Amino acid sequence: MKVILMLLFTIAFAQANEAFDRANAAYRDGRFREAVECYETLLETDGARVAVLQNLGSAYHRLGEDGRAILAFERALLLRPRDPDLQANLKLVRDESAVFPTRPSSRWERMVGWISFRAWSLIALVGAALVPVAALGWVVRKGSKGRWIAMPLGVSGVLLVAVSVLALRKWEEITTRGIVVSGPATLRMSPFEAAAEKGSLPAGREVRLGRSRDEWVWVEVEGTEIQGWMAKGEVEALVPPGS
Amino acid sequence: MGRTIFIWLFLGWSVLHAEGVSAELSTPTVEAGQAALLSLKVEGGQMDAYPVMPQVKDLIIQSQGQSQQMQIINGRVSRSIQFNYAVGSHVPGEYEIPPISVSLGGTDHRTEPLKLTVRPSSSGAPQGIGENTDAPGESSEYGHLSFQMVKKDRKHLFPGEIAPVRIQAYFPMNARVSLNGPPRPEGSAFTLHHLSDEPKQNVEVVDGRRYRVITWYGGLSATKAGEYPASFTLAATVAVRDPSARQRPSGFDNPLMGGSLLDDLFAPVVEKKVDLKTADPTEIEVRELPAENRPEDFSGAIGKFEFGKVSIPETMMTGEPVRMNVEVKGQGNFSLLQQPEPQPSADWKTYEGKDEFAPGDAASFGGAKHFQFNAVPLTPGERKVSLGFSYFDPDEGEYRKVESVPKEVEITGEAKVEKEEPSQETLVQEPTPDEPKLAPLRTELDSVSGFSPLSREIWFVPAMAGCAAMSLAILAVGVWREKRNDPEMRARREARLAEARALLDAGRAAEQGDVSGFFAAARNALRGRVAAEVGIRPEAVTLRELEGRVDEDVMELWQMADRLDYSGDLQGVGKLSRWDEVLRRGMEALSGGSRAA
Repeated sequence: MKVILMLLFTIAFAQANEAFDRANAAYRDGRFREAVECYETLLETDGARVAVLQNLGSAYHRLGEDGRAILAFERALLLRPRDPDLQANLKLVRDESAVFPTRPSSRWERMVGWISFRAWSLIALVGAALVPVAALGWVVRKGSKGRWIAMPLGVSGVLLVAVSVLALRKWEEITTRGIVVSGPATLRMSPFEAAAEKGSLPAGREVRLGRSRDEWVWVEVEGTEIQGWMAKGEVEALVPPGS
Repeated sequence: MGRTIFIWLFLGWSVLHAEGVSAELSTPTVEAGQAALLSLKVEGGQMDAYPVMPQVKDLIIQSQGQSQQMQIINGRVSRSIQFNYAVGSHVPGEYEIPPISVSLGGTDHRTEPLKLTVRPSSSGAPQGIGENTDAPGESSEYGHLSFQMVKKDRKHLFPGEIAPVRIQAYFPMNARVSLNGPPRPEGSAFTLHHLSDEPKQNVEVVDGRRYRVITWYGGLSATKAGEYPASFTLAATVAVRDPSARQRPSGFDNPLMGGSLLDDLFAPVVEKKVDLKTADPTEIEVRELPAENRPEDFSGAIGKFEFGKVSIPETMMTGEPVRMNVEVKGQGNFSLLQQPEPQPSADWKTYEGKDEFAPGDAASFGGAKHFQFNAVPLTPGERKVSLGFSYFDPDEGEYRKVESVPKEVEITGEAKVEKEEPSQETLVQEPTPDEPKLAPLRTELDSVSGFSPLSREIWFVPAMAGCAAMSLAILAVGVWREKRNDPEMRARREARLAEARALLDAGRAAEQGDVSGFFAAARNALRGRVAAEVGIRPEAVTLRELEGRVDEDVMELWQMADRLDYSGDLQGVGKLSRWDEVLRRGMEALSGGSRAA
């Protein structure tokens, strides 16, 4: 059984590798649209990978679709927040599109963004596992210096769990973020095509997504008073639906 | 109403010092449809009635309210009332306003006649004064809104720029106003930021009419490129007296009793929710930020900025962080102004520090931003160090790079980065086309990872709860084990066992008539009970421990057991059933005593 699983995994990885090489070749030949299609298919069939998302963002940028490029880089940064290549690419595309952040990140937000949310959840698990280990040490090594090890171990575990749980609460906020993918995207007073315009947002602008109605979604730009209804096709959630 | 009563009171107690009536026009010439301000000044004396304005054909004279004044000069008190009227006409021509008659303390005083020339209107359309053609409730009755860029010559904006603006709301002086919110941009092209929380209030006379003016300062920013009217709206509830709505009862037409003065007093108050809007909004062009010559370190700061105080240490060591304190002052969108970088930036590694903005005005447009951050020099040597940053100057329409005054700095230590010498191959290479400087493509496929944290998985919470439950269970087992091995607890347990055994033996001996066996078992039972209660070994319990805990019969039972042990004399023992009862009683007393204790 184990061997069969290993075999299936190896075949799947080889196929993904082949598709990735094909997409990269298309990119190098300047066939950016084809490269984009290959990367998107790979993401859909195989799952999210930093390498695919970065190359996809670069391909979109070369096509002039900076909103989608920013979305791809932002998604990759969710998986690997401190990757210098991703950060440099995102800054380049943002600067070229003149999409600057509307508010600086707080110290806590920077701390939370130091590692991925998956890493935070692993830290929470490790912390939680440390607590029974420490309790066991406390009980078994009673009366000896083993207790001096068990006590800080247990406290560290509890602290790790507490900090991780606080950091993970930020995830709820991340799931409400969206990126304008085709700009300038029009903001309207009401969720229908004929409604009065309230403004427009450039491609790549980060927004907060609210309730949705039919083919419209309510968006707000944090730190400003800009808000309104936007067509769903013009904005995409930062965290892909169903992931 | 309060003001009208005050005027009547004032008229009542006014004392004549220097009586006199004078009238003057603010200008001798006006356009048709415009008005001049006629000021009728009544000094000293007790006024018998309000002045009556003469009727002149085609000339419109409208009351604009009055003001009173009291002056004390060298102990001499003088009082005056000034009545204001807007005077104009729709028909061009020369007009003469006949003398205006005012009765002071029974004496008639008259002003000089005044001349007003009305020229044809340059716009051809009469406006401003005259009959109130607007129906009551129109926003023009209740006030109006005006908007101005603080820099009057500015007619353009850049997206992201915050330009200072002034918004003024004009309400009639006699109106009671309640604002239903701050001014808001109408339409979608602009947003307002940092609007002053406490707008200024003052009184202005515009076209002969007095207004209460509320002034806000704020920052205007554009949301999209193009040309748009900068139009604003202000929601307010305005209450004014409307003399036209008054149903005047008969008998009040007497000028002294029910003339124009009482019109105000008895006129009903009309309250209306109005949305004041800026008339003829200024067209503002929103230009895109130029992509040409955009510096690499441009962070979106738009305005005019310069360095204030800059603190750079004089000595440094490569690889060791030093603290930089920098002040950047000026005007613009400080929120997007990022910390300046030491120059040349390749020789430094900087860390994001903290910053604090101190606004210099109510709209947070001007001010100073203080940065404090750490920088690590990477190359040694004596050199001039300066800090630099870029911004966009909206007036000049170009990017600017600002550098602080260079400071002589000595950097010791070894170089932390090797500067690559350009190879011969690089030197002869043809210049590459101007391509985006993206990071190179990734060629190695990494592992698949999910976006969502594991905390979203269904098993995560049970796993965490399991760890917590396991920890509690382990701790509980530890506590239980600790208690089990406690010598005192162990002694108690053993004492209870011994007691139970002894009671059983005593009962059996009583049934069989075994006197010595009964007493020995009874004493052991009492020992066991006392030992369990006190927490000592049963062997250590003596008659002394029973004192004060049990009655005399039980004490006697113990002594009898001792006597039988030593002598074996069974005389005078009596019935065992009685001693069995004594034993039960003693056992109960010992349990009850310990419970009571």
